[in-house]
Amino acid sequence: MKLLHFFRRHVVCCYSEAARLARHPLGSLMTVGAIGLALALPAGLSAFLRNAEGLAAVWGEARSFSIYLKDGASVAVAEQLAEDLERNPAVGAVRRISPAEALSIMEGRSEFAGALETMESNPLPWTLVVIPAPEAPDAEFLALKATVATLEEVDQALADTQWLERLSALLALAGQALLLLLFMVLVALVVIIGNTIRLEVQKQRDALEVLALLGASRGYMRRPFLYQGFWYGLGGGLVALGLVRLGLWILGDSFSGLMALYGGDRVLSSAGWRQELLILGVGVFTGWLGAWRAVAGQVRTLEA
Amino acid sequence: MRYRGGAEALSEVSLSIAAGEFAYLTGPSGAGKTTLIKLLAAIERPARGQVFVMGRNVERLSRRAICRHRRNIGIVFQNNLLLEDRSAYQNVALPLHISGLGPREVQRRTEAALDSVGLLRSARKSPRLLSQGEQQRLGIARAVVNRPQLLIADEPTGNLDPDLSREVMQLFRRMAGYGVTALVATHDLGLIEALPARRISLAEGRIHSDTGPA
Repeated sequence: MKLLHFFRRHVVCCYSEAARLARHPLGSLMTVGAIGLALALPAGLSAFLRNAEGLAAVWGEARSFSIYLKDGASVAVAEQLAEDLERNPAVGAVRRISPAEALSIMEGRSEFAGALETMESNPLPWTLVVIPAPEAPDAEFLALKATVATLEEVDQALADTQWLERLSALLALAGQALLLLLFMVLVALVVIIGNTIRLEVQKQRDALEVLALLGASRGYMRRPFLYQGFWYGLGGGLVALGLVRLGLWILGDSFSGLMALYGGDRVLSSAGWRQELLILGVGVFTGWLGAWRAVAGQVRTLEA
Repeated sequence: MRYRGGAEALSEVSLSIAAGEFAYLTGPSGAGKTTLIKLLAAIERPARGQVFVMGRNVERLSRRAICRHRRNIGIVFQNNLLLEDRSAYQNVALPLHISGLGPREVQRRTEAALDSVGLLRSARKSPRLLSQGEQQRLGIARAVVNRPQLLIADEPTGNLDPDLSREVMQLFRRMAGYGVTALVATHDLGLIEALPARRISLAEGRIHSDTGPA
């Protein structure tokens, strides 16, 4: 029964504080909006990074490198090397391009047509295009390329992976920056909510003094303000979710268009329920923490 | 007990009030009546000496025990200390909420307390909309609603007409009849004569006279 009363008191207090905030809609919405905007920044950046990582994965095929065998290398040599490579766990697939096939590809491209007509024989070597396994780490794959380049039958192993390495480094840096930004935003939120609640505590100081005289515990006096912080945080979290969803929706078409250029059909993914719950949780926690920071000290000063 | 400036508020005050006793605390302004009440409610702490309330040394009470101690005391404050952003009903129900009573019990006791001071019809009104006398009665209802073991009133009839003052004082005496210890600080000598009881007189922070238990 006591437990039931305990929960009932919390539910009533939670509801009362929501009603109290609703009685001052403009001030409450401005606070919630400020919290939402602040939270949307790291949440949006996180969603952007996740999609960028997905994009990099789609571009994974672009991590492939081409092996040009030496002139005169036979089919058997090319096939043997291809099979060896296919056995390597870092390799997803090996595409074989014979000299004839390469020539026909080049003939199909108008810019080479004139040059090819002047040649008496096919100068193109056997080419193997090595595509990495999806989960293959960049470092391992690049090491494989370096090894292959030293083989006797290989003339050159070429890849334009530098841009991808830079992209990966940039994404890693952005991930770290995101953590830093998140920390700074959380601190700012605790301060924003704390100051809002502190003003409310000061407005209600007389009432708190009466409560203390009537025998209210610290917890009883803190409770309404903590629920105010809860509502501010939850409201801010919901605003942040809305802003992130809106942002993803606005960028969705552009992203799909970009993907189509790279032959992919990936669409801009939403935050996902876990991430959305995390945003709400972070909002609620910072709201509660800010309120606690503001109210705990003030309540202590009320005691005789 | 000293004021902040160092002047003695109470000195050499030694008295005991038995459980269920009704007593008046009288004396001119600045005599130390409010300070004595604050000591009993653990709002102030004595610089020297000891204050025992309901068998407990108030000075040694922990923070939590002070909260419990105050819940067992009903205090009618001189300036009522009503919360103007809450209704009369909510003001009276406050001590019950603080004590963690269930909603039905809160409603039953709050309505009974409001009824006992003739304010049941004004339950939904803000204290702002009540007269001085009604506010004082509201403060009394809040003090008695939690069925305290000790009832302390600091000038509870200051803004009441003589009939109502007498009625309020009789309410306190009735509570004393149920075993509640009541200490009422008042200037109203006419009321004391009409409803005689033990009278403790303070002057300049000392006990001037004490008629002793009735």
